[in-house]
Amino acid sequence: MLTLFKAEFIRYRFWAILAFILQLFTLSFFAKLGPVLEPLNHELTLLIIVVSFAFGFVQMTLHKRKNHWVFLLQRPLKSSKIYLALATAGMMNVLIAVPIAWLIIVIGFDYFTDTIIDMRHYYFSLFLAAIGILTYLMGSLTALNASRAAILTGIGLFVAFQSVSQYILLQSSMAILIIFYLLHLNIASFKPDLSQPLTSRLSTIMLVVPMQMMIVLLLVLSTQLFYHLPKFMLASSPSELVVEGTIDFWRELPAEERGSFLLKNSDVDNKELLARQTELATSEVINIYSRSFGKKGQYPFRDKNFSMIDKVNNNLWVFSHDDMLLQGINNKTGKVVGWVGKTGFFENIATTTTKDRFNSIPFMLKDQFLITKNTIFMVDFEAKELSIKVSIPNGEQMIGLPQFTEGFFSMITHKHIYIFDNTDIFEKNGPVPPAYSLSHPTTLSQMATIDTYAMVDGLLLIYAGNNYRGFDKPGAEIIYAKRDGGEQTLYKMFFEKQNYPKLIRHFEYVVSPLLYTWDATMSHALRAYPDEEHPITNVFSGVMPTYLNVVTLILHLLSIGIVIWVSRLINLNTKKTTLWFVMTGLIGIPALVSFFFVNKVKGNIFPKSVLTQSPDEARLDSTSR
Amino acid sequence: MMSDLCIETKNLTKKFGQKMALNDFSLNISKGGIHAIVGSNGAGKSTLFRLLLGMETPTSGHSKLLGEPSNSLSSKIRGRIGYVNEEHTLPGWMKVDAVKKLQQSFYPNWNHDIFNQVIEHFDVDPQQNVSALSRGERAGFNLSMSLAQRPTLLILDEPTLGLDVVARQSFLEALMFAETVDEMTTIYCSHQMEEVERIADQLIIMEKGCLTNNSTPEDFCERVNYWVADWNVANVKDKQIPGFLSRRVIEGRQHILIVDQGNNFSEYLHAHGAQDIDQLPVNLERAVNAFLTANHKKPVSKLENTSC
Repeated sequence: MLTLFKAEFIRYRFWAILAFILQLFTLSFFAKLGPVLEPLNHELTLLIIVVSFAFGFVQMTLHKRKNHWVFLLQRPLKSSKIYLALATAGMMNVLIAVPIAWLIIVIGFDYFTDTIIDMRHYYFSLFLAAIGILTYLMGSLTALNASRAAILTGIGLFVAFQSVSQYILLQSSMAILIIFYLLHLNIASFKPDLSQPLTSRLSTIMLVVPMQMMIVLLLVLSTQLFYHLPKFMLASSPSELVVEGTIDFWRELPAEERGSFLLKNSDVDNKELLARQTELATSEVINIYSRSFGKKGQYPFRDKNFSMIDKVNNNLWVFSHDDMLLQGINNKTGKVVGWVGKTGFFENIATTTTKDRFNSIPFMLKDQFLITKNTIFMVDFEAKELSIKVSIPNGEQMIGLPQFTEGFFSMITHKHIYIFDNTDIFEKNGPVPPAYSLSHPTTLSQMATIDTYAMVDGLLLIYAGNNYRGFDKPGAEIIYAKRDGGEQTLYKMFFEKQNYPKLIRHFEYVVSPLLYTWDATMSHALRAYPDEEHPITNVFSGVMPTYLNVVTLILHLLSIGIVIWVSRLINLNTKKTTLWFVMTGLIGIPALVSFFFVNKVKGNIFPKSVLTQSPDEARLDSTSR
Repeated sequence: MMSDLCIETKNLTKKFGQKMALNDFSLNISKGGIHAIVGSNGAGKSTLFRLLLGMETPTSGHSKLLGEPSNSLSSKIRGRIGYVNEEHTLPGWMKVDAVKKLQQSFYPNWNHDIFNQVIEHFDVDPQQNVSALSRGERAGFNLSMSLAQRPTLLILDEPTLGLDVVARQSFLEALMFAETVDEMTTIYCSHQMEEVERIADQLIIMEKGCLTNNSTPEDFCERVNYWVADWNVANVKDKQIPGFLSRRVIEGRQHILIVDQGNNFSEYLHAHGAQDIDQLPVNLERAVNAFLTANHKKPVSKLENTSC
């Protein structure tokens, strides 16, 4: 086994070393262009994903060639050991090519410069190694497994791995778990006859489960083919012919008409005057779900706006996750010029205490503002002063990052929306009170956008969302906030009609209620806004219309029937038939699709017609019978 | 009880989509000797090997190799099988000596003497890269390693394809030398009839996925008869002639090759107006070529459950 490992390792050693050297040169070059390799992190990760996948795929495809395969397998060594020898050699080459260059650069910066190097920069090399090995094993599995759909399994696992990339510990554990998971699948797929499906039920489950969400995605995309494309060709697509009375119709209106459209139906006395004002007013849109804050110890490729430039003194201020302070370095000398904590500037880091350090990773804006989840600080580099501009009341938490628009600066917490005048924020000294402070008229999950109109004596806000009145019940609400603090709800509009039929809108639910619930639960868990209603309540509170539930049930039962019928046609044994029966019973259509993906159905289910046979073949068939 | 059979196949059938590669193929090969498998391109020889080695799964039927089912060959049995293919697939990025060491590490009974004696037929430098070897050198190196493993069963799938006369000669000499040294069963697949004639103890002919002959080469030659006669065949169609294989007119006389008609065929010729009838000896190459050509054009008559 060791000799086979050596032979395989030597085969790709040159390329691994070449990739390492190229990466080292590229990183060294780009490291000088931006703070701690920031410009290259994303591109590097993407490149590693593509190249490692391709390497795993090509390595195994080269072995799969008929005579090469026999040469490889025809030796007194178990196929699992042969695979492990090849894969270990492949992974060793990936490790040479991928994380070492980064590690060398990071160590170089750490020991020879004052540039901030956190532990997360070191961890990032492990992350790169994990990404390289994961995608390498994905490529290998795609080449080896009898079903090309194995790539969906790999993608499914990779998405799971990526979705928790803000939590290093969780992601590291997942990386180890997924590497062993993929190794098992690769070993199970690596057998003399590569055209045969996996034999063990455990391996089948392991192959099929991660691909389910990918199949759901493909099924949802398939609506483009059977619904959207035909509708488009018949020029009756709802995206082009927006139905009047729907929320989409309202959204399609120009900004200056959206306000007056709603106001014309309201009962307020001065609705014409307000409507005219909205037509002339400056309109801005606030998104409820804007970008999220950084997490402590996050990988460098997630770093955005994590540095500030002090142009006057030619200093670069970068946030250190290890120290939870902002460190300033002079661009010319490369020396440290000081630190900034939440209590102010410091000449020496030794004089800082825990209370001086930030509790979370601040977002930096316009080289002037440090924004945490409950405070907005303004930095004056010249005077070396840090002042608090805004403090959010205790018990409230910011949802996403604050948004700057032309007219104002807005912050959304899970309870309120705070709107400030830009002039106050940029020019006034000391804490600034909000110009408007409004409670949310409904829960966060029900709102999607807030349109604003700057009126003569206040601000008109239109809250809208597809679930504004509850699940799948779109609506919009106009609130008039006055400068003097008063607020008035002018009109609530609920849209009864929808542009797309329910079957299309809730296609994910129709194909698999279980996966729909899982998807919603995972999104909720990862987003984790406080006080947000759990999406599972939508599924079990009877909000889906009866006919949709009936269609879903029929498709579910049909899937089970097809699985049993085809299992018998292809002579699947009872244990495997039961397995597929259970999986289809639980998951529905995606399990049926994966059944066709991973079993050898073609050729077995549609026996060759005698009419399509050549005379020779017909003769041979009759002889064999 | 240990089976005396090296290879057993029963009703082995393999279809690739609409193409039938092996059709209800039953064959038993006992241990020892060199068994040549011949057949035209697409006859199913390579498919048979792949099925035997478990690299393909049959559509129906089953097979055994050295007593173990092909679809679950243990690594122990795999270690007792040598395999040389026409491409002489070897790790081209390694040096000859390194490849030898690699293969040697898997076989505790590796025989250095056999390796050295076989390799000396070929001019192979141990420090050369395998990719730099000529086709003949690669074939010799591959054979040396396969023989040094001391396999119980050696499968050679058209090993001399593309070799020049000298290399082919060296290859055959090395093979025959090894056969005398160690007791092993050799399955030799080739299109080169002079090679088959020279080394084969048993001749297996495959056509269109069916077994059409399994006998000694001599027995096969006895099946095929070569007749020369003055005969006006205007009223007789070739396919009406019993056991017809081929017919040529040379200097006005009919030269006819037929199969499985024995010496009684002269009576048939007499009865149909032939005169001045002679029977000539036929060599293996001519007999097999005629047999294969004729079978390629007409439905194949299979041999059933043949054991040799």
